[in-house]
Amino acid sequence: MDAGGAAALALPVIIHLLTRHTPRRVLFPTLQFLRRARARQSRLLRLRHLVLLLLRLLLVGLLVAAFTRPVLKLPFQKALGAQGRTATLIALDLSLSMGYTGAGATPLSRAKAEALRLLQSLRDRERANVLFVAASTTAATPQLSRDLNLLREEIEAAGPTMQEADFGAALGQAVEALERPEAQGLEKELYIISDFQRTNWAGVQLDGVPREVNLFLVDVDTGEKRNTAITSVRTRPAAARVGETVEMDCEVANYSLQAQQVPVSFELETGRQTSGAGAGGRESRLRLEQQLLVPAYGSATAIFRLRPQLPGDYEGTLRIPADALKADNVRYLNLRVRKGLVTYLVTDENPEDDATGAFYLVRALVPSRSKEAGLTAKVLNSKQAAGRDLRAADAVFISNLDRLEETLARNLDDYMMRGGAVFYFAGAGEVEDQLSALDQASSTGRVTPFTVGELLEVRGLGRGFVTWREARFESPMLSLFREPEHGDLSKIRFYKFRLVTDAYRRAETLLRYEDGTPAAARTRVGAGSFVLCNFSPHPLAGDLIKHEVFPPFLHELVKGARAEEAAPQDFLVGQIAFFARSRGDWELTRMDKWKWITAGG
Amino acid sequence: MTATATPGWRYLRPGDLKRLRNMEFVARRVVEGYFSGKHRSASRDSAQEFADYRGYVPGDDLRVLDWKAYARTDRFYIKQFRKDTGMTCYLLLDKSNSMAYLADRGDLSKLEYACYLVAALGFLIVKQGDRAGFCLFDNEVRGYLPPGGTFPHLFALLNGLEDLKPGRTTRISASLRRAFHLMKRRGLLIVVSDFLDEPNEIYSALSMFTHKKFEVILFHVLHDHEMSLPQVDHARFIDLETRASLIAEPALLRPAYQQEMDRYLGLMRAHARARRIDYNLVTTSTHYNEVIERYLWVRHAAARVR
Repeated sequence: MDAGGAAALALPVIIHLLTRHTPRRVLFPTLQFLRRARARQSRLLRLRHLVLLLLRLLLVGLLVAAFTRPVLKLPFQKALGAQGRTATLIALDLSLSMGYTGAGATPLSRAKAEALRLLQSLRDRERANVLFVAASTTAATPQLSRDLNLLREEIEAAGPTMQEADFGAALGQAVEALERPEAQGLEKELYIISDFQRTNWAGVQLDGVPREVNLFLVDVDTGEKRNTAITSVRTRPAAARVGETVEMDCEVANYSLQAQQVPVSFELETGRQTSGAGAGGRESRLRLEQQLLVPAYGSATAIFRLRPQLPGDYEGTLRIPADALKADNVRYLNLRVRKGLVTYLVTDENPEDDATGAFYLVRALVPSRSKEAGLTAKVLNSKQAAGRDLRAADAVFISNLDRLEETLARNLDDYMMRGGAVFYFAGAGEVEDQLSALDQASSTGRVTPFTVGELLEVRGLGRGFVTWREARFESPMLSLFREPEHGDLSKIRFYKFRLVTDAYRRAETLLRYEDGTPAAARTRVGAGSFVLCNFSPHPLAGDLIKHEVFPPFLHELVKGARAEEAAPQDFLVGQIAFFARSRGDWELTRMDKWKWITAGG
Repeated sequence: MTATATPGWRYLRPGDLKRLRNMEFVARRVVEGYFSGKHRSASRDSAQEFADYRGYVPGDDLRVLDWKAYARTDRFYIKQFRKDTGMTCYLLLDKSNSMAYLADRGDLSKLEYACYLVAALGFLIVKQGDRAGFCLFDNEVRGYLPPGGTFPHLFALLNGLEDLKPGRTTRISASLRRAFHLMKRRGLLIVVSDFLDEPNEIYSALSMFTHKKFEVILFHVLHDHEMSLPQVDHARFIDLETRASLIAEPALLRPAYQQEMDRYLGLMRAHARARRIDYNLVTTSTHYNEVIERYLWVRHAAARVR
């Protein structure tokens, strides 16, 4: 190379040095984040300058070399590492975010292109398979296959789902596939092609992948996204009644680097009269809107409140402005409003006999025969209750059963798991056996908040009665009675109660007697609850039924124990479901729980 | 701070008064004071002031149904009460040098923006009959006005804001700990600051308040440039408090800077959530009136739950 060439090569260096600007003076609140960012970026920044310089040198060097005709060997990029035969598994992310359209090509289209390129680089008769990862993972073929054309077709046909991706399960499946006999003796490679969204990857552990499997992560993220999404909707209470305030919480997440102002609109198709905060009058269609400031990579909640005046089913829609990922900008919901609360009283006593606790329970639950009564009570014996669908009830009271059969226990367990509240009065009778039966039938392993022993008669001891001395007024079931003028619970006298052993640590004690014995405690069972009352409404067990506070006490128990949120659906988006009629009600059931229904039945 | 009768304050203008007059600031938790329609009392001895009966209609809350009247008359009646209030609110304002940041002349600095917020909140609180106290701090407490509920008291607060100049460096946690001992009566604590301090230490100090059953609200005031760096090619950044400097190209540094900011803000939010502290990120590009209106709307809606 002569002096002319050397001078040409020196030129980019000179230009590089001369083009550095004089910095502008900027007063700034703090440098701490700048320093941290620079520490993170410093190597990359220096590299960038270096790369820029090298590129300039390379360009001139190539021009110079073109005249001297050097022989250059550029490095050749080999797509796959192995020299020998391989077993290749490709895990393709089909979650909702892969359909993001904001940046031109979607991440999924890039992922499919990468997957196809990988397949193309495989030699004939090498084995491969493709896993399509969403909420569940499905494989293109039952095992590693040499039919690469089939795999190509499967990849080309793949589309984004509306689900999150469970990569934890997918990795497990991938490792299992690579440990099969057909992969023995082959070099194992696993390619994960994904946009690596935080929501899908937060809990995934990659150290479960064996060392002998070569793991490649292919990021097809299209860079900065400006996606906002409705991530959850909750209604409280789950089953509302007329005149009750219903609160709807809509959580909106912002998956971008900038805080976003997001208008959230809520529409309710009523066809009837409703009133709500900000609605301004009676309309057959209610529309509310809120503006949310959602921080970058954060979330905020819009709260809508309304008070339905008529019973029925109301269809609602929550919307935020459509963006490049439209599917998560809308949520649909159904709000069921009933006229009043419904209770069932399960007892083997005669409710017309004024010497029984059932007689007073019925009259306290429904003190007025007026049609405007907000609460109704239906009396069932234990056999009737065992075969009855209890889901129509907001609460079930159990008092004085002859026996608690397994069918009734399972029915009660199912009812509680779906959000129902059960109140059990531990008066006279085979209470210990009945509570034990409930525990045995329980899906959660235990429902009883404490274990009861013998029934203790207080008459003849000291004053002859005990009273409640502690109450958990923070509980919605008892909060009304925090103020004594709403009913002084401490004035109620009890002549009998049961000894208590073995309090369940996950239970919530609501009331205690003066000696500390639990008088009432609650356990959460699925979406519902079980409240064990260590007292009885029987006239010989105490003077509870004589107090004015008895009706509002029962009413508040029912209101306060209702599920705050609906029982979780066990469906996944995209899963096939069908409607079936069961016990007079339509029911949504998954394909794997199919039951044949006779026509007209 | 002394009260004067000078009309027309810089941080509470007639237009602001008009917008604020129909709003109210509702306590979300149980606070000291009398039982009221706005604020629920912790005291079991407090008495409501009963006003009248009216007939029950379906949909009325059963909590205020008079069961004794029902027992006597076999009819349902609802009790109506007279409202009373008694909330104490402490407004803490950060006047450290970092709050002096403004992007251009004619812009509002973070401190001025914060003063508008504090003035509006103080007005709301006193207008609805509650008591507002005021505290200024930078690396320590620089001024304290004990709570008061009268308009002359509000004027004293506004006067304190009038010629406020930014102070020294930031030491929020030390200031909060000092302020804690000045606040004799628990209530509502509102801190308006840029919180450019270590989140763990800030929340450790705030825990003293939450432990004592204060309801805590944070307004985290930042400029848009702090969120994503100013649009300049090549800058010598100078720290407003320490005068240290750093040369950088914002365009190159922006992605990493935003990651650091996101991490820091995420930490602030997570700490707040864990302690049930109401955390609100506010940028000076949003008009302070809009911030107050939106915040109060959500707060009012949430406070009526249960």
